[in-house]
Amino acid sequence: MGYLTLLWLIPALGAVLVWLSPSPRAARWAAFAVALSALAYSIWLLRPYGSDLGALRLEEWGRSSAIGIRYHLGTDGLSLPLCWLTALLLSLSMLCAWGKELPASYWASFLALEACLFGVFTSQNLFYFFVFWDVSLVPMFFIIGLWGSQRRKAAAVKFMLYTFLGSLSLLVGIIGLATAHHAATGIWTWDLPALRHAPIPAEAARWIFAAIALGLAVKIPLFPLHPWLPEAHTEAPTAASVLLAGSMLKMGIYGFLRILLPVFPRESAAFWPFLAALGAVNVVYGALCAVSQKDLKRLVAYTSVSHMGFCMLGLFSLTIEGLAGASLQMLNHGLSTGGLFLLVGALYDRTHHRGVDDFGGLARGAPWLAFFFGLILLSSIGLPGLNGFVGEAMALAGMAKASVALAALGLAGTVLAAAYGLPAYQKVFWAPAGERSVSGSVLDLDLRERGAFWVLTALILAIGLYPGPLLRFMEPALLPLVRP
Amino acid sequence: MSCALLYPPAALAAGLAASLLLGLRRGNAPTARAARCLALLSVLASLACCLLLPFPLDPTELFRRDGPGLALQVLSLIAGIPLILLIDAENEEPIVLILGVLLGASLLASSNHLFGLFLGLETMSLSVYLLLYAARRDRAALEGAIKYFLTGSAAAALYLFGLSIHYAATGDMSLQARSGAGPATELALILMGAAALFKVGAFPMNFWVPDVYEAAPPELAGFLSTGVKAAGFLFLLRLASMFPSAVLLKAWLPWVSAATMTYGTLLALRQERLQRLIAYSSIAHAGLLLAAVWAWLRLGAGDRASATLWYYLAAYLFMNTGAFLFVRMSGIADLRGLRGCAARAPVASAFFTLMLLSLAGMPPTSGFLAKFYVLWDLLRAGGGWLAAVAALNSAVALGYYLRLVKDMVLEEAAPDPAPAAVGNAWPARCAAVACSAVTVLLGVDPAARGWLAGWISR
Repeated sequence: MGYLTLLWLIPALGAVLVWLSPSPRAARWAAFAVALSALAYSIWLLRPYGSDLGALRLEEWGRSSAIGIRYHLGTDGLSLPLCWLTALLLSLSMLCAWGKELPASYWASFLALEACLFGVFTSQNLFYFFVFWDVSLVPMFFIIGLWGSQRRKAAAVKFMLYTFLGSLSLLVGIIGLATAHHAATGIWTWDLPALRHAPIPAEAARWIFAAIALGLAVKIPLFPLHPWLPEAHTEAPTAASVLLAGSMLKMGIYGFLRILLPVFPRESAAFWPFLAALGAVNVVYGALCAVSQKDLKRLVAYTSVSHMGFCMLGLFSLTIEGLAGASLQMLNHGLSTGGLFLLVGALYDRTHHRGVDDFGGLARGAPWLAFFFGLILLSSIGLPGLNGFVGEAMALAGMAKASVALAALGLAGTVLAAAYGLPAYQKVFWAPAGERSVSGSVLDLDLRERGAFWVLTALILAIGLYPGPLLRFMEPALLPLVRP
Repeated sequence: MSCALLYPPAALAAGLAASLLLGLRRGNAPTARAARCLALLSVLASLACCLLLPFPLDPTELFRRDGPGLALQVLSLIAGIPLILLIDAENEEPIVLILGVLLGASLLASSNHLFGLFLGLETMSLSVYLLLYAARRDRAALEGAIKYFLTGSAAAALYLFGLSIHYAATGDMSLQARSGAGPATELALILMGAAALFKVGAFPMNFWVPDVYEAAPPELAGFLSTGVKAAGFLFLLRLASMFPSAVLLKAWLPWVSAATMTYGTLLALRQERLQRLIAYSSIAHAGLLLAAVWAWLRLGAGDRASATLWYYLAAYLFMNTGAFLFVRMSGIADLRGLRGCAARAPVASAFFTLMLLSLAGMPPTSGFLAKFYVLWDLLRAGGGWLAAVAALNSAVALGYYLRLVKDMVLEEAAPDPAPAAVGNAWPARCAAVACSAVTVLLGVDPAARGWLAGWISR
């Protein structure tokens, strides 16, 4: 057993430990300790990179079965930051949910989910990638269904059915890929590095590309496949919304970067206009839906649809700027949308309201809440100097090289972002309180929550002002994906 | 060593005869207990004969001992153990009949002759008809037994008719593969194949499945859907390997498979009674298994390639037996009774959830690997469209499995209290633990199929 196996084993074993803990209080402490150690360990995994940023640090473990399935983990500049993001978001959401009475099984489910996400982000073998991908649905189903808000049951079932359909498409695509590779070369392998530039006949490659892309698109989610997202994000408990938006949506984009672009460069280059156009539709559609939302949590959920569109635009520009922008935007979206869900959750815990019209003039009574909400919202909208700007600008710059029209649509999305974000913020925090609105009496963020948001703020500013190191860390993994 | 071919059925036959003799004694309860012990002993002895004796190299004219046959014997014997332990028995009768079913399956598995296949099949089927009524003597059970009997007899007649046409055309009843297929053999295969498709519950010959499974007590329904169904699939394999190039198998089987899984999946969505729902889900699984049979034919119809089918049947044995075990342990008959079950019985609900997730094909369970292998075989065999149909059906199938999980875990209990749990004794608990352990352990290692392929083609 090696270093990387430990990464997903820590939360997996931690989940069992937390499940068995005697009291909810002990469970909370144990869960927080496990989440923190997972975070620390994921950062410690940076150590072997040193100056040699380009290497995919691989770990291989386990024998190869007769059909070439081999347990194989590895990290590079793409996967490690997503692991950090997952571990960080889970720790912060635990911190923000500290005061609530939650059973041990709640925290255990989250740790199980974290283990699956780590597994997805580090697997270098398609079979294990899929196994982790699919298992991650189960804890999320129970988290939404058991601890969500009023319409949680329908939302949980909808989430599960949509994403399971996507999973099966992905599964058929993965098996088809290995089979076609075997037919072309006579070698059974499910290893991603070995499948790069697979010599698969064009006809078969198109079908396989389509099946895998469909599976990933449900997760992202791309435009006509998105209806599960607003329900699931809105009904889930706060911490689950944070992880859903922050990490689970990234599985889709990550799948494109990890599987489709390296294995099918020819098909990616052929299908880019279609997928990039879907991305642009996502940007505009998500933003337009967000403009008309009256529920703050639903509003934030639709911004995710919009932001994932930016990632797709950057990705399918197939330029280094666009790819780097998309990878960076994955992290940015995790930080800013994760932060927004935490803030809306904090507001809801205090007032039991979520509607934009239920509030007014909150800034007077809760200045910290107003400060962090404003800052993170601006980061989400893409204000220069904050992290969102860097990612969106790079993604659009890349897209402009490929297609000016699609880049212009994306640009319209950034304007719309201001249109959905700022009026809601103004209404909730600064407008005079109406007759029925909640104001004044709202408790401000306490010290623990402020600590969590300061961490987010520091990262938002750091990436916004000095993204260089992170981009250099990601670049070697992205360069081979650029269209020649 | 050729008499070693007959040790596994002989052990069962000896147990059967001994249990019959028990009936000469007086008093019911001790007889039932003694019969259970005897039956268990003979099952274990038969299992040991299957697993420990060497493969004889020369099959005789009537009997053979090969990988698929052994696989069926082992599967049906394992499926028989919980049935022997759990079935309600006032006297030795049901136990004797169970041994009859197992004996029939064992004869079917070791037969090397078309008429031997028929004898095994009918020994098994006749015992099942009687067992259906002996296990629960009420109107519903009688109706189910008669329905199964009438339709089963029609299938047997079809088989005999096909067999006679085949014998008239070729003058040969051995199970050797034949290359040329004239119109007579084609017709014979259609008739005999129809009997096999009836036994596995393939569309459109599956109308008896939900009625019979619902009329049977849960542990017997579990056995019918796993042990007896596995026998049906071996029957189909034996026929198919005789006529590998027949049109029925090459051209029709994928359509039958697609229709079967779609029919089972769509009808399961509308069910309110638990046993009926699992019965329809079992039809859907039979469709996937038929797809595996077709892929096996396309991939050369060797013993090795049938490992997918046997892996699936083994995985299905444990997960479906587990699902019916929950029905038996909880005494819950319909979905209303299932509501809020997790709050009342968390361990049993967790067990049922695991079985349902495995039936739906979620990793890391054996149900996932089984589905994975079938899809893999289909894509290798060039059946992309059937793989797509199977995947789509699995996605829809999650709908009804999830509905059960939702009712059980997420919903609050119905106002009227659920019936008290019955038969929650140690055999049921042990069986439940075994089912969950095997379901998880079989699903962990993707190399399981390779190991099984090696064992079957020794």
